[in-house]
Amino acid sequence: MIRIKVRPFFQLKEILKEKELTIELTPDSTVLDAIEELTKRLSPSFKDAVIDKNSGKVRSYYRVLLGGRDLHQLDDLNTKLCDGDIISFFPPVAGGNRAT
Amino acid sequence: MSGWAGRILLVDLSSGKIEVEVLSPDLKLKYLGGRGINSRLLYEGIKAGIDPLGPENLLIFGTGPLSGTLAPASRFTVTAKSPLTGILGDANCGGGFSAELKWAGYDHIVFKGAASKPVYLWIFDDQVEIRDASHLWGKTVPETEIMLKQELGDSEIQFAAIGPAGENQVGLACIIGSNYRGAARTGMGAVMGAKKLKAIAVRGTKGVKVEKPKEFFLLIEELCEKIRNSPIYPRLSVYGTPGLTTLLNERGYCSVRNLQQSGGFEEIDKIDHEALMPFFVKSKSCVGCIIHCGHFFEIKEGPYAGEKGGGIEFGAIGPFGTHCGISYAPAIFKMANLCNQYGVDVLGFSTILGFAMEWYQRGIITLDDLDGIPLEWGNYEAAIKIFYKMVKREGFGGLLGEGAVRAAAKIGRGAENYITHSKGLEWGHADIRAFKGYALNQATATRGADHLRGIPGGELLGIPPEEAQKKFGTAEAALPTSYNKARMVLHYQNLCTLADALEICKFNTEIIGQGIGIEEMGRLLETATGVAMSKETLLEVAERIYNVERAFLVREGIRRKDDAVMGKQGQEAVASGPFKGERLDPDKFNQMLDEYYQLRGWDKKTGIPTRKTLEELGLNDIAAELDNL
Repeated sequence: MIRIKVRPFFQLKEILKEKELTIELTPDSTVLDAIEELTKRLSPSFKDAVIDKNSGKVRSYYRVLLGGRDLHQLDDLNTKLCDGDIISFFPPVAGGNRAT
Repeated sequence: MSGWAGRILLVDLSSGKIEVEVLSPDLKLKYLGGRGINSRLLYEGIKAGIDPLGPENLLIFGTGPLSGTLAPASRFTVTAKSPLTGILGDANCGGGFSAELKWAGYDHIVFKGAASKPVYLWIFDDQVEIRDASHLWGKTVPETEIMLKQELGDSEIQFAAIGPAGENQVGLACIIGSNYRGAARTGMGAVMGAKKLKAIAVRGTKGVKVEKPKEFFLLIEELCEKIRNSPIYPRLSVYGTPGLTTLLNERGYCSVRNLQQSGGFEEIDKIDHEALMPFFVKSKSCVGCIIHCGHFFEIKEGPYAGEKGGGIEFGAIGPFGTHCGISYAPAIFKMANLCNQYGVDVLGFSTILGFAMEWYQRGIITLDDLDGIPLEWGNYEAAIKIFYKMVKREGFGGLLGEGAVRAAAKIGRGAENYITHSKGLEWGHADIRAFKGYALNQATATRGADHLRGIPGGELLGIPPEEAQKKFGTAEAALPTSYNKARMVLHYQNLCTLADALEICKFNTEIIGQGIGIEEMGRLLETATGVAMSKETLLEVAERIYNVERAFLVREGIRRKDDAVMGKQGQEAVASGPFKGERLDPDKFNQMLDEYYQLRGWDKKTGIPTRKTLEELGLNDIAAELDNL
């Protein structure tokens, strides 16, 4: 098994109430496998929130970084993961101005 | 033509003479306004080689044809020869000053000469007076604002003023407007101080005539809807630009302790958007903008309890925070506030502070050089002491206030290896070595290293390869480390030039993925002024402005060798993070520069615009002058 660190930001962090969590995946797993695993653990809607069903890619307003790099600089969702990799999820911020 | 007020205010501070000149249709159509007309007026109005702090320098304030309307375009540009860099200087500012100036009936103000004693300019529609400012000299900007409003008996007055830093002609001095907004870079505050001009106060009641009010209003509604529905909107609205800190830290963009590390700042949790939210009490917009990114704060406890202010940007959090290793958020608020109060460029000061901290770490400067102030990483108390010395031009602080290049040259001992700049304008809080398009922009920006001249938003914030292919002719443009970026950089530089000429806030534009692109700029211009310009014509305007600015630089001696990222980021490889080992390869960078010159129509050997390029843009006078250099 390989251990992958997941860093949630913005409201995802608020929902998870954790700065970082670790998931375990089989060797040769991809970023897509990690998202599938998180969908099982977090919410059935997580995958749909991140991936556009039509294009099969990360939604244009959602940022997923692997080791600080955008997925399209790598092999998108098919990028193979290594033990110790860090995936960061930046969802779009929702709502209007809170600081009023 | 509607939109423009149609008048330039000419103020001779030496003689006290005030005149009003008609803004010619030629200037309107060829340069639009704001930065565009300012740059042309400066080129024509001064000779090469003049002293930026002498009376022969001009200080030009410019609004745009959309300023004062419902469009998010009420910024203004201040232009002069820069005392910090010795080349073109300009700085752009939001708030309410620009709209008020338009409502008073002026597009531009051109100051020449210098007053013999402190003065301020009071504008109330057609009533324009040069008034004594002896009682305001030495006051901070907030003090000046209060006194001006009391003296003039109107709390709605908008202003642009300098603080003590500008009065003392500190190289990093800036001009501050209402809402803690600043025309920050290139030392425009020092030029204002040299002219003994403390402030401009303005009140206008005339409004702005719009050519097609119904169509304009519907277009504004359409654009507001587009902007409000974009994913960028809530992030800027809720958190302001500090909402970008975590993303940029993860991507290895944030300099940590002057680039000894790229991203991965260990104490990011103490200065990220979540850490800052408890300090924010309200946010305010500039005129005509729905984003309201300006966050106001109050510190309720600790050593800086009671400190209140505004204008906190990533440009303060990043450079004071990760770049200088300061993780105590109230101290960052305090230092940003000091900059706003004393009229200092936040980005300039915080960037140079990080350079100086590394000089101290490496023993290039010692406690003796620092007047006994231990300028260690993260030592904000020491930084504040240095700040006070800088604005008074005392000791080591005074040296830093001259700018990174001059300070490093005076210190010697290899200090220049720990600064980054282009054409004398410092840049260091952000690591651009992996972002090749960004580096090309910094190297070719017409006011020195500067993101606001053409930050390739698509490269920094991410763009899908298919979109890059469509817009820039190559999917490679989506990859930060690709050198195939010349066309991308040209696109963003032209976009930024048009935004500055129309005085549109870049946060509403395609530059960061928002709704206003060149086509929308054309529609705004047409409905507001009645002047229809195609995308091609607008791009020609952008090219014309950029070439006038380039000609200004050429006239001051700038050549191809100066189109480079100088110092640390030009020499060293990235030390850590996602782009560890990445560097600016000189050969590949030069090839990219060749391609950029080709697209610009500049001579590859010298970097000078060719006669053909200038003549195609109708700049025959400039072509003739450059021929005689």
